Amino acid sequence: MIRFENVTKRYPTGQVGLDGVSVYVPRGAFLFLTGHSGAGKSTFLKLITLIERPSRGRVIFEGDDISRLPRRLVPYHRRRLGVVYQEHHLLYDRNVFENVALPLIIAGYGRRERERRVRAALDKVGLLGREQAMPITLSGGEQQRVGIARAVVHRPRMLLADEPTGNLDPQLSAEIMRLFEDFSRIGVTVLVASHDAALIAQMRRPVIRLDHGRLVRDELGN
Amino acid sequence: MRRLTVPWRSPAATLRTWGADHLRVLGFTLRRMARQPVGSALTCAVVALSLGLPATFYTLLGNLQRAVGTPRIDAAVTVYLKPGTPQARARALAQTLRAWDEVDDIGLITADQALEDLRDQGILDDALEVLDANPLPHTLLITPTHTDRDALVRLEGRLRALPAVDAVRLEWKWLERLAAAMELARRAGLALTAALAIAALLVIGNTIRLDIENRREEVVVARLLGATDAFVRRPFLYAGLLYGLLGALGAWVMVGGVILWLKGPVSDLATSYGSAFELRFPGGSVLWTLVLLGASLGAGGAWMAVATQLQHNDPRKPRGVGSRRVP
Repeated sequence: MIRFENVTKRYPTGQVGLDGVSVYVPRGAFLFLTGHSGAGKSTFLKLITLIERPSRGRVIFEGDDISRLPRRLVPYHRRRLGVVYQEHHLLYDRNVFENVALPLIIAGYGRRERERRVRAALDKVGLLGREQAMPITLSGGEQQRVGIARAVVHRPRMLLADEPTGNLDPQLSAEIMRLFEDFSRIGVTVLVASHDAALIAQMRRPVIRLDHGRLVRDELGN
Repeated sequence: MRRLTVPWRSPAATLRTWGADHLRVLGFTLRRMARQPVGSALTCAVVALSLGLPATFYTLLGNLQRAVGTPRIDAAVTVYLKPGTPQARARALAQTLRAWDEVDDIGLITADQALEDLRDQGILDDALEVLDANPLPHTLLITPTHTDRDALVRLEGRLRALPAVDAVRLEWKWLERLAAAMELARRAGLALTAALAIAALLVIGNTIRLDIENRREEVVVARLLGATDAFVRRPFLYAGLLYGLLGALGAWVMVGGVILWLKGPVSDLATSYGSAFELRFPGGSVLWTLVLLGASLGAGGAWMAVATQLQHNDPRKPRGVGSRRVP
């Protein structure tokens, strides 16, 4: 699915995000990306979403070297991904339906198809019937579920989550994780960046552990 | 060999999606403008003023040109006959000249008439008292068929060659001065238009810039979800276009209002001069010019803002995404 080949990311400030990381994530895997703050988790995700490009090395996504992907193709690469953020990144001037429909509008789906898929995604996260609600009226856990619905509504091949449970209590976190497991079961590759050791231990999933930009533990058998 | 490409779709499907998205963005932008009625109205008002001022100026100038340009200029050529020419001779000459192609109309003021006019007006009363004989010549007032300079000069030559003619006075200098004044006004109007058009461009550009600033989150999210540059720009370009178009309509209303307001007094003034002149409302061409100008200024201003702002909004530097420090 995705392969990092000796990837180094050095920021213009001199800070090293990743330092010679090689890792392979197979299709359909469910794994965690962990490490202390500043270990390189965010850099790892940004190199997949092409918010950043590596200083050295290659990132291979489904056979393409995306580290050298032309700028005009970057939007189309991003449409293959679904990303869940800790801060949700919802648009607060639009209702739940419009938020979840956004990836479909961007990808050019027709109205009928949009309605069908948005309902399916909201049903999946247990928010069917809340389409007209404004995000601000929802609880933190509900907002996160809207974010997840938006991340999967266009059926991405890979789901990335950046500290998706950072603001949630353990029970809500477990619910979110159960959702991710469901997606994993239908073949979506799921990569969850988290520093929540207890949660990771409880999930019993492979872990990529980073420390100061270096790969220190890789339980995928690379 | 790269596997990722822009997904292929049939031209019909592309066009359908494209059209639907433009409609969606248009509706979305209109709703957004309606949600901030004061701000939107202010921007449109500034654009309306910027376009309306020169439009009003040109409409009035056009009316003025019509007022002085199209009606006949009475007696553009004045012919003084030699003193002592008999009155019968003068009348015969007037008859002859009336047949000339260059002469549209001719009038004769005999020396006696001229003297009487002077007496009636009470001018030179004392001077006239001391004169024994009438010192005034017979005068022919000619309205030329063609009022351009060359035709007038030719006519002047023909008239001068007549034995009875003493002097010919052309009034094209006055026409030339008027034309020059009109040209000056036209150019001043052009400069005014250019300055105000730039003002409209900057106002729209600044409004869109603030708009982008306020919707930074939306832009970042859309980019993260795979929006192309065109998709991100579209709502802002539409907003600029709409500001321009609504401003143009406002300008049109403004011109109409000014004309309506001046129409009565101008008619009264014209009537007092014995003219049926009336101010005319601007024609459809003025509306189309305004709409075109407004649309291009709006889209242009928005484009300026989009080109300078959206690069800085590249999600390479989004707030929050992974840059957060976890305690």
